[in-house]
Amino acid sequence: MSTLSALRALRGLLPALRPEWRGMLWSYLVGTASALALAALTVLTAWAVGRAVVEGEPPGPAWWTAVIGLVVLRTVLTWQEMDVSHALAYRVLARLRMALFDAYARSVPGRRREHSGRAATVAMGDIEKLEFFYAHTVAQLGASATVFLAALATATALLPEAGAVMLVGSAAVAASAFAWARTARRLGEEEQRERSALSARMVDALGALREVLAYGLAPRIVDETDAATAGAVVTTRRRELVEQLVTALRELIVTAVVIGVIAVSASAAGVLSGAGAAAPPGGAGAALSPALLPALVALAVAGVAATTEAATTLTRLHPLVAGADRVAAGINRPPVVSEPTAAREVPRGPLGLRFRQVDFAYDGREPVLASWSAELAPGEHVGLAGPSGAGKSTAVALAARLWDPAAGAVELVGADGRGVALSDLDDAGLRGAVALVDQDATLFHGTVRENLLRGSGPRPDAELAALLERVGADGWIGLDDDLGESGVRLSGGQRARLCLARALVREPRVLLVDEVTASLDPATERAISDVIADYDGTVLIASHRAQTLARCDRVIGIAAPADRDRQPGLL
Amino acid sequence: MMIVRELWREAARFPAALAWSTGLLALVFLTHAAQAVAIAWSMSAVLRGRPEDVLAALALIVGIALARTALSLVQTSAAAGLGGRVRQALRRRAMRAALVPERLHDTAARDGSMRAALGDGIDGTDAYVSKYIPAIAQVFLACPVIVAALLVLSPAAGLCVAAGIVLALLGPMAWKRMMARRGLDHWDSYEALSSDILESLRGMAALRALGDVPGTRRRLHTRSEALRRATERVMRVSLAETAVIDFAVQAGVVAAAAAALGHAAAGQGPAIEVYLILLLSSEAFRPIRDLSRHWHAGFLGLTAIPGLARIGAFAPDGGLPESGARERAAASRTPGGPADGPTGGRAEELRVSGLGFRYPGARDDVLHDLTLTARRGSLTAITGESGAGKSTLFDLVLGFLTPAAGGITLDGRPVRPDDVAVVSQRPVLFAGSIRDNLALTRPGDGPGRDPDDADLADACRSAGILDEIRRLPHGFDTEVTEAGTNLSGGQRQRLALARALLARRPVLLVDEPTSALDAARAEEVVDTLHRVARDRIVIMVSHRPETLTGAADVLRLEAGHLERSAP
Repeated sequence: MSTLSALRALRGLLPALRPEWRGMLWSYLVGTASALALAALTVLTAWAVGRAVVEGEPPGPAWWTAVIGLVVLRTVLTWQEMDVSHALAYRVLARLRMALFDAYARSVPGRRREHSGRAATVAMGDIEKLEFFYAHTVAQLGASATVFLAALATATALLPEAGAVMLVGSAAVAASAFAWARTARRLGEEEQRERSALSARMVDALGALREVLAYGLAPRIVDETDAATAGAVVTTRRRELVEQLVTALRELIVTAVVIGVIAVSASAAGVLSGAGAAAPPGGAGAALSPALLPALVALAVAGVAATTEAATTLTRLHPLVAGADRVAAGINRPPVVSEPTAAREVPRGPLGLRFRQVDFAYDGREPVLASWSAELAPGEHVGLAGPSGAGKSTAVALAARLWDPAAGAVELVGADGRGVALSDLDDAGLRGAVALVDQDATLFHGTVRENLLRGSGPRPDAELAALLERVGADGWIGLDDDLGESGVRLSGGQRARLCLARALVREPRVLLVDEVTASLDPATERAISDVIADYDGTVLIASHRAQTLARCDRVIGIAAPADRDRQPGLL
Repeated sequence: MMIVRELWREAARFPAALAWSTGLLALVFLTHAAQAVAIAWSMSAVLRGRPEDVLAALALIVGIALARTALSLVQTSAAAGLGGRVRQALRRRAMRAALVPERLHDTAARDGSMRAALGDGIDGTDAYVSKYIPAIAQVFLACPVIVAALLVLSPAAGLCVAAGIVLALLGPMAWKRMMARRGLDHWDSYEALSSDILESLRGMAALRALGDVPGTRRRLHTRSEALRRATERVMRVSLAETAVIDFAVQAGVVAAAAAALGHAAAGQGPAIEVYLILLLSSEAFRPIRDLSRHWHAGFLGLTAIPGLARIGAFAPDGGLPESGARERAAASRTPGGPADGPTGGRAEELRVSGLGFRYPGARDDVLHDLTLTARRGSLTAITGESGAGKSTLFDLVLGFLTPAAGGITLDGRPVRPDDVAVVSQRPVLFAGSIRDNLALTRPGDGPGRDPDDADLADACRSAGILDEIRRLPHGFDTEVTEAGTNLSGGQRQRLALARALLARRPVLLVDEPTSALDAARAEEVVDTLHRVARDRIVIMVSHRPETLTGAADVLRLEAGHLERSAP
């Protein structure tokens, strides 16, 4: 990745800061004041010591007041600055998390059929790592620049040569921020990749535990994890060495500045020019009193330190670039459905469903549906049959408006026979009228009641309990039972029953069912088919099972397009 | 200063690496101190008008700076090595502790949190081990030396600096405990929110279809804001600590400077002493500043320590909670074992009689008086819902669980773990060639020989994957890339089946072999299993009725009993 695209990736992070400009400004002001207080403290101390040594004069009460005041002020300001900047960063991170959610809400499931769960995990982890960027970058760089300019101005006023040395030194320090930047970015990326590969392997091993134990593969897995960790350690060590090298380089420059300032002030004080010890220091013609030397050195160090801090911050950003890129990619995922400009209401009464000349293709693949049309009358139960990959699941997903068709339209048809395209409908209205029972039978953690009520208003418990009974779930689970993560405690059949119940809670006028009976035992399949057959509304059910299709009023066949790759399940 | 005993113990297991990185850090510090002395010298030389001394001092500063560059690089490498070794040791131990039969039935165990602890949790210890521990050692090595030097120069300055150091070290301890507690609470809720958001992202299709996107967003937002406020509370405590340290450092330096001023005003010593007091008192706080910086960088990583302790990452090597796994691993590493073993040979009949089992703390038996006879020659299929106890039955046959009643015999003798081969739903493949992965279950030191190409081809043909392997660019020598990502789910499953066949164990357990396959492939695999069942006892668990056609025995597991059902 080039420096330019790295900068672009970081710039992509800035819009999230826009609502925080007040906090940023405050953070900048407090940070600048705090850094100036520190610089003033060291310079004042050095000045007093220099004067006491050269002229034997202790500082007066004004000095004491200033110094003690600065110590207290600096403490309070440091605390305040970190408080403001961290609170700001946490607000931004919370906002990014929600932005990621919003982006996924617009764009998942993707038409590319990628494994979005993994990308989401990575992006979530990356967001947390951006805390450094938001808490320590923009306002702090500004504060560093201000402090540097103040120190430079003061030093130049005291001794222009010293100012020149500082300027050159700071320029060198600033340039060091880009030293080995490419290597640092590459190593940061490599570290991240090794980390996620290792984590994937560990999850696999835990998932196949039975097999692992049966063949005594555990030692081999442990060895492999060990080797992967060792590899990651090498990468970490290399990244840290690069960082340390840059830091050391910077320290060398700071040292050079100190030496330079001492040398130019020694020369200005007339020490180096009069060959030997002849010239009395601070004598006639000397541009600088030696009493000011410690203060000048302290000033130079404070000024260059500000630049150093800024450069260090920039260096620490390089390994974050890859993460920033992924977060930006997550937040800017292209939406899969468009917002209607003027949303229309769902027609009243029983609804039919019409596919009109529908085209659809997954990204980068041959079209799945080409000019495909079908129509379901209100109240009709229709089966959708066809071989794997023919587009059954795609048709159901289009009817649920997970995607919009590339051409043609999917419409809800009112009693008068007039259709309204799904893409013109108000989303809440559409979701209230159309329910989907998907292949994966996705449940969420929380109680059964919470799952049943997802997306619909409150319902009396008695009604929910009756529904559980209707799908044959009343025997083994109650409304208050906790499902655990993704309903892991339940079997496929149990999950399918709950998903069906959840779809029915909303009393949809159109019920879409995708292959829900594919992996069920015959008893569950029968029970579910019974409930669907009794359902009073329009039903579209995609299945390849004869028993399921036999109970529909009518079956529509979808032929597999010739020589197309066999495709895995939809979601 | 915060001492995490577990991590100190871990670091102490590598005394050479620990001593090396600490010693180098002390040397780096020494260069800082020497540089302070050299700067004081140069400034006093300017004051006294000695150009040759000024130049010599400046040359000295350059030399010291170069030496520090070299030393700091070596130190960084040493510290990274120390942190890396500890991470490696922790992960090795935690992995060993995780790969035990007990975990198969631990309902509290969640793979997600286990992965978090094994991955990020262990990586998070690195900052503490590689940076913070040497930094603490540096405080105790360097600060007393500098304070002593200051005491000689000016007792008042020495005392001021010493007081500042003590305040900086002990001051924050007053609320360390509170902070650690808040940190833990915060981490728990952070993890919970993260997994909630992830769950929503993964289930987004369902959320959209349900029209629950706005509702979910509202809920997550409320919780996210609550978490943010909790985070701010933790941060405020932590920042107060930073402020105290900062105050101690500045006040100590200023007080020492005041002492130096008194020293100078009294005209007690040469100028170089005054400059030295000023510069050394600032250097005395360098280790403290390092400590504070590293604490800030490593604090979050430490919140995982209790979790790591729970999974056994800190268990001493001798007493790992893995008794069963060790023996099992040992037993299965030497397939065949005693000469009378049936491995590689055949067995006729696996008989399960009166089998009963109940998980500790459960109300009911999972299996009750279960009887089953599986014979060589034909496939035995078991169906039933996921909660019905099929996995439990497998684990009893595999010896991962001990039955409460009844027993399992193979041709009349108790079944042994190395009689049984198994294929999981999601088999694990290793980095290496396909050949390596297939040969895993047949180590070269076993009976017979390493499988040759003919054996591999036989097994792969039986598993229905031979043609696909032959089509690969390097055949059996094709690399299975990391995590087997260049193979499809079905290919992985058929490779695992081939691997199980190569193990030549008389009993084969197959768990949902067709779950990742389309109908045509599923049929092939089931045909394969029928063929394989001629030579050994094959028991298959499956949900898909179409895989059951042709099975001689289809048994339905319901409420802990097996019932014969129509295929």
